[in-house]
Amino acid sequence: MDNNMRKVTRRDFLRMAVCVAAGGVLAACRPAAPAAKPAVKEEKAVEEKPAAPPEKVKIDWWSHTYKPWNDELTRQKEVYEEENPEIEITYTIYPGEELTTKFATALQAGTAGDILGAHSWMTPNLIAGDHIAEAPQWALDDIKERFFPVCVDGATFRGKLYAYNQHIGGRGMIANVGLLEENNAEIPGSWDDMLKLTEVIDKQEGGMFTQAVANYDYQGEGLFASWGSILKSYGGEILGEDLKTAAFNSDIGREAAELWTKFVHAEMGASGEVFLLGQTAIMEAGPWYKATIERDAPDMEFKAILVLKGPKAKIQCDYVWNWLVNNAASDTVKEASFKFTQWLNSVENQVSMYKASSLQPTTYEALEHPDIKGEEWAKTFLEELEFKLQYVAKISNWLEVDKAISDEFSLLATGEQSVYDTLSRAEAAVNKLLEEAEIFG
Amino acid sequence: MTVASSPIRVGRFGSQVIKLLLWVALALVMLFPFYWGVITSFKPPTELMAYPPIFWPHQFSALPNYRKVLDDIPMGRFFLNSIYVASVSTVAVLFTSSLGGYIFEKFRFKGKELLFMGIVATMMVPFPVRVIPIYLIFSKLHLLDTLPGLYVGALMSAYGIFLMRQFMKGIPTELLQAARIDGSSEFAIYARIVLPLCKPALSALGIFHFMSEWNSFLWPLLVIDNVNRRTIPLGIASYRHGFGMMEWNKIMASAMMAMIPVLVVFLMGQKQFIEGITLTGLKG
Repeated sequence: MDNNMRKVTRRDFLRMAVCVAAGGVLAACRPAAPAAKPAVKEEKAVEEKPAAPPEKVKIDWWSHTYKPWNDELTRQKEVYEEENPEIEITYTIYPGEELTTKFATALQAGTAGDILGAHSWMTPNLIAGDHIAEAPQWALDDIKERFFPVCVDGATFRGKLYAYNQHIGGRGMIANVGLLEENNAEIPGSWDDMLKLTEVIDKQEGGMFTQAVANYDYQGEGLFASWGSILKSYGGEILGEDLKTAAFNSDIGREAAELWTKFVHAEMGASGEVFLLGQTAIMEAGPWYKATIERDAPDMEFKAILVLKGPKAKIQCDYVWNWLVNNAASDTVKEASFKFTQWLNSVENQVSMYKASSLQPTTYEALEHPDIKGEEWAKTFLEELEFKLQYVAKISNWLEVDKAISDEFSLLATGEQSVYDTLSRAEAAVNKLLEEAEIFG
Repeated sequence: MTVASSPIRVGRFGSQVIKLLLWVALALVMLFPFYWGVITSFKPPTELMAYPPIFWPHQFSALPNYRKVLDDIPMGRFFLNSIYVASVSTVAVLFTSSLGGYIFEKFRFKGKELLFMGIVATMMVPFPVRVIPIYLIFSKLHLLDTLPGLYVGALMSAYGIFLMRQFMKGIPTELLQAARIDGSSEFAIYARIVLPLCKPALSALGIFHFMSEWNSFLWPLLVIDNVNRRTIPLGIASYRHGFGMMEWNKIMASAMMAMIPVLVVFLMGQKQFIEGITLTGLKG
């Protein structure tokens, strides 16, 4: 130790301590700013009880960023506020990839919005801790009466129905008609046709990027939308009837997985962007992609293909986005929120949303509307839909099961593992997880 | 054989040419992503996904892209917010880190090393682990959805204290003793003798911290709800739409605009910055 160093005396220490404390007090002071949400919510809850002044009901509405849809929802919000002057809605959007983090953090702290637009995949985590309000009886009756069964299933978790839908994440196939014509190929109607297409187009000279099918997602919802659809249309099942055992490690499961590998091109980039480059004949996507194609590849002739038929059926696995209502909101705000989300799903609004962003309707009535009836794009993504979220709704640890399967299929997609090993290892992991799972409904 | 064409000279010349070519190639590799970002900010949507790739836009949309960014989102407001938050945080960190480094290096007190190790140990805890508890604390303090909520937690830096302490090892203690003998107060010694000698390290720390705060995304995303209080990274993220829709040209245009203050800060302190990271490295 350097003997020239000065020793700190008690007076020096106290002086420094006072300076640090003063600095801490200054740092804690904040400039004049609007009161933070928790204070507003608490005050509102206290104020509402003793008196009932005719003040506006304020709803904080959160969803993710997607411009065509945000613009249309903003317009619909303004219409609703005009028709309901006692309601004031603040619409805030957040980047989609960070949505779970934002929602989960805010719900824990009690600062989340009153209406949260959330993917069904996110919902179990949000429901845990009693953060999400159950739908009132009138909403339950309305949803069960007017909406497609998949929409009801999509908003049901652990046996309880929670929300009106935001939209169906329907997926199907979109074809680059021009590229098919160049290769004298026809639009496929079945998985066998798709396989034949890979033999025609994949073998053409012209560079590594020309492929029949853009790479499927091999993780999460993308995996189940692609591989799950093939499996089920071949007559296979992902889980047994009791939802306690894996059922995909079978002859049918192996055949479906082998077929799936023909469509996965892990060496290629994101499927959407490769499709927009005109290098892929078919991509697996949802109706929302229409807006992106029209903007980024305006010269491309494309069409939606009816869901492909397998030996047993046409089945497309997919998911739903819901308008969840925050359980921490006051009863008045909750009721107003459910009313608003019901209104968002009116026929008129669904038709308007379809025109703005190609998102398909969620009710029978909207599908019969003259502006939508006969629209191939709207119809296509609703054919024979079955949703894998039946599992996320019913199995308490489905997200871990999803990950266990996805991890193995990622290795299959990159050729690091055989089909046999993939299904065997996935089955073992899934069975172990399902032993600990709680099953609902 | 002449001297000019001797094998040794040719060999040296050849190796220099090879080295130069390697450095040029490396520089091109390092610069290409930046070049691609710049030209992407100039492209219309139809040229973004063209194959073969377009390395020079056929149709320049620089003004429309940049204008659209300024129209779509309150970029000016985001700029001001980012500058405010990053500047306040940086000034505070420079002050607290230099003071902390000075005290830990030039003073003796009980528990000094233990306290210093404790401060350094906090650097081992990843931010995602701390984010929820910090968020809950800030919620109780009513700092959510406020700009101070973005910088209050960044007024001190363990890394900064560590860096400054390392640098101050090179300041002779006799200098400080001489000042004390001359009757200088402790704060005056810190302000008039120590701080000027620390310029290189302060520049380095300032630039690192400013960049870190400027690019901070997760914490502002969690803390800020009101659009008018968002910072630049959140503004850029608003072009990352769901459903695979990415407006790359606008993302790049907004990113190019976002880079300007960081470049200015770097250019202002470039000389001291390089000197600072070198000296702190050698004295470690």
